[in-house]
Amino acid sequence: MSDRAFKLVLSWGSGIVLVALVGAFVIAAPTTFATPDNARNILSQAAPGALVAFGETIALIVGEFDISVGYVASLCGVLFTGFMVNQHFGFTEAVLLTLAVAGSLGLISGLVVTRLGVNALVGTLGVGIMALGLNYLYGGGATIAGPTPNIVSQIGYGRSFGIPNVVLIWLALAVVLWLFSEGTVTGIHSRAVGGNQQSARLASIKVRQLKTLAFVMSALLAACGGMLISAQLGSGEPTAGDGYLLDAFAAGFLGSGFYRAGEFSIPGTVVGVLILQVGYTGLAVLGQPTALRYLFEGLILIFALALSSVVRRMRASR
Amino acid sequence: MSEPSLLQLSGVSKHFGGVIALRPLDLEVAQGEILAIAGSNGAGKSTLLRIMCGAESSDTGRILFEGIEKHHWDIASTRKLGIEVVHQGLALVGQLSPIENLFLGREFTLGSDRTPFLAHRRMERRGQDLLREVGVRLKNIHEKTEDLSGGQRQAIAIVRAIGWGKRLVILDEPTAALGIAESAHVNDVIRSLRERGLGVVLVSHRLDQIIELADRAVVLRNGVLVGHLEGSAIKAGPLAELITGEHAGQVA
Repeated sequence: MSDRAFKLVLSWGSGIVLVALVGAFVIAAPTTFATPDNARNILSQAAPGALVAFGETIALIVGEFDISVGYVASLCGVLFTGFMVNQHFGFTEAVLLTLAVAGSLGLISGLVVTRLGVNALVGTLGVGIMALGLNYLYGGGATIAGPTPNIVSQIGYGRSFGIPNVVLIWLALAVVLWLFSEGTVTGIHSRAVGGNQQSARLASIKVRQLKTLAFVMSALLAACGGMLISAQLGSGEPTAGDGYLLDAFAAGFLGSGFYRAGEFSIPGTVVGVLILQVGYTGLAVLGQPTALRYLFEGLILIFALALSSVVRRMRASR
Repeated sequence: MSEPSLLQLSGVSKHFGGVIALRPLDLEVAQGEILAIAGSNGAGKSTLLRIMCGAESSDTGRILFEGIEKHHWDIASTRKLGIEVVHQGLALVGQLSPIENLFLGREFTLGSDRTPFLAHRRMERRGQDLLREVGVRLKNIHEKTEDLSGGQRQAIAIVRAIGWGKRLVILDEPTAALGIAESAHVNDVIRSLRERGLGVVLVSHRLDQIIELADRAVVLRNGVLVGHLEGSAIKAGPLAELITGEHAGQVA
């Protein structure tokens, strides 16, 4: 394969997979899959997972892992709803307080990894379990439901310009985070840290601070994902966010086969998120049992990790 | 030394755990001179280099810049003083483009550097100027640095140091990955730095390069500064003897 063709495949690989997947489902279920309603459905369902995936991507970009994102999302969904239903806080207060909790957990992750030198896999798992503990401490493991300010249902079910608000939220965040990653000093320094920590340090980049910031951002985005889940469900479910961890990883790694081959990126993660959601929705539309969804998720995760590894090795050998 | 002193190390030493990397030594680099540091692997050259550029702290001694003692000596402060380094490993980030590497840690930003947003076009223009000045030709400046050849990567690292170096440029094996013609070109560039009044520290395995370029040469052996040669005294024989610690007649 020529160099140019090789680079093309690397940069567009996952995009091609997405298009192929969409094409396959359109062919398999032309009347039920290929509808505007279904497209809206796919994009709406993708929203919370996308936010959690963006958080994970920020951590991956600086060369770390954040295992706490699922638990943090669950905790924050519960807190967000609970603050309004139990403590009768307004929407804004509930959001800010929830973000404050998430931010603190992210800060702990950052300090544990950068100051205590604990491996991120273990450190963030610990923080995640702390989040789980806080979750059950606050809500006792029960679903929290009750009257909440109108804006919550507007976000969860409402539309603007014919597009579901949750979709506008996650796409807007995608753009903002992409601009941050590409267009700011912090963004490029984060990429440098993830690419070669030693070189970054020699360029007087503050590696520890950047990594800590990444963990804080990851937690905040996971919190946003959790709050979005609650808005969509209309209640605070204690385990609603747990499953998003694996999807977040899958999306991030699938994304490394798109946009910047071999590197994690926000646009790449967007494609990864869509691949997953198209898969899940497509299987559901075809009436396949839920078990198949898990099979698909597992296979895609392995495929995504293998793809990333293969890409890296192919680049290295060229 | 006729030229004013630029960087002065006095009684500087370094150990790592039980290993002594550098015994207390004195070293001085002046403006407008090329100081070569020679020595075999493990002699302590890298450690000395890292202390000089602030990547490593010394255990003892003082560091003076232009005669003033500096108590805070790290990479950020040495960069501000106009000290630049071409590291042996190049210290580039492969995933980034040559331009991004050239400006890493000192990016131009919009709004006269008052906003956090990158001024991509300004950096691109300046970067291309720098590359052209040193005669580096790249087919695609947006390519990832890891996709360039070894020689091109080395050239980027050299351009970076020269572009930002205003007072002192430290080069660690700068022509290791280069061919004859390119090496000769780099030697010319190093000489031009001296002509411009910068101080140059050159760490090199290549005795021919040291003999050709250096005004003064010091030799490290097992962490000790064992010799100092000047001008016409810098010859292969004396250098080799100091590096190996064996007299010419003893080499079997």
